[in-house]
Amino acid sequence: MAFVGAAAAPHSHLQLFTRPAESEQYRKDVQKGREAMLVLREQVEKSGADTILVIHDDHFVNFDFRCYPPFALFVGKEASGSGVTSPQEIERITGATYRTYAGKEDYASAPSGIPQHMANWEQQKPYVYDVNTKLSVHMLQELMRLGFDMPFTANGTMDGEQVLTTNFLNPKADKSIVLLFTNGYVPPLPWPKRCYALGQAIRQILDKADEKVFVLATGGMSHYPGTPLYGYVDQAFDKEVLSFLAEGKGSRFCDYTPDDMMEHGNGELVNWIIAAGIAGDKPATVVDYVPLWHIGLGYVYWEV
Amino acid sequence: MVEPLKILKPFVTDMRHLTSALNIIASDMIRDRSLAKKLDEDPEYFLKTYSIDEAELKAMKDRDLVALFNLGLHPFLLVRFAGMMGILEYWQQIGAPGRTGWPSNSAGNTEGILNASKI
Repeated sequence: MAFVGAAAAPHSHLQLFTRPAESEQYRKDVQKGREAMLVLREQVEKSGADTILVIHDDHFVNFDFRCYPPFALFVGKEASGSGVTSPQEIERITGATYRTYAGKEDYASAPSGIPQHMANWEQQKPYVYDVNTKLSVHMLQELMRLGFDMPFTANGTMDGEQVLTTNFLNPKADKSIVLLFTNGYVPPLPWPKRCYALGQAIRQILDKADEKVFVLATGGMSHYPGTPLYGYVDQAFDKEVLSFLAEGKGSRFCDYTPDDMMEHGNGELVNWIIAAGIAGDKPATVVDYVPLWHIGLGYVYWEV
Repeated sequence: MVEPLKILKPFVTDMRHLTSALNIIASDMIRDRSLAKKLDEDPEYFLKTYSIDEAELKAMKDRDLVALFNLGLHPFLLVRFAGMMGILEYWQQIGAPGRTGWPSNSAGNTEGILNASKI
């Protein structure tokens, strides 16, 4: 058995810092979310994983409108990315203790007001992760055999959000990673039922693999960045999702359409749906749900 | 009662981002910050280089985020465009609920372009 557990966790960069105008209650809520992240980290350690499959929606870093695939498997040897604030601050909050970016100390965070995804990402990449290429190439071949015409890419730039979540769950970088990029915010999104089926296919592959693989789905929950709804959070929908996941009914995701997902500010759940397909209809543990004014932060894990 | 699909129609239902070259321009600006300065210094460049029309160029030149959203600039790229233009709290300009009591932004301030070029 090579699938050893899964988690779904937000990748919002605002888990790493709070702006001066935020209230004390907001700071406490953010801290609550960070503590939930540490619970998920315990699950990773407990699972005995040697590899983490990170499922993450690209934020216009590796792809843009010249080509935006619904899914893409990274096949390079090394993935790298910048954080969203200084490495010292990232390491203070996430507990990340490694410095795989030795010799790449040149670092500049984004100036105030510039979206943090942009932070230095086209220059030096302070965080560098080893990729389990044996598994990624095998997954690619097998997914094709199983009927998924999976795009692949050698672009392995990890945006600040992906770095953030990976740092929290893999703080010593002692587990190799595999990256599966998705499209979670550029309609038309992949259909939930297709995402779930992809997860089921990945599970078939992992069950026969030598590695012990923990699955990390990033993103969500409800938020509407860049739209006239920014600041609105559909907590009712978020809670509905968390409720059926806790009941072991992740396949209920298949009832949604892409428009349902976007309507509720939850395009990024495509990542969660793939993870749910991998885990199967097994009750998940909801660690916490922390609604902030601009996003609902959901923290979930599945044990094997 | 919030009706998200009505509000998000240009984006989610009409998917205007699929056909608007505004998104190619914004993507290029992220990679080449000097392009952002051309908006003021050489706006004709965009008409010559990209498949955009006068209305799209005007919306960019005016930093009119409402018009850009309606014309099909993808929301994620809208945030980045706003950042490059020095509009710190973009949601105030597009009338989003945002955060009550948040300090007002510096909409229209082009200082951000200069800052961005120093990254």
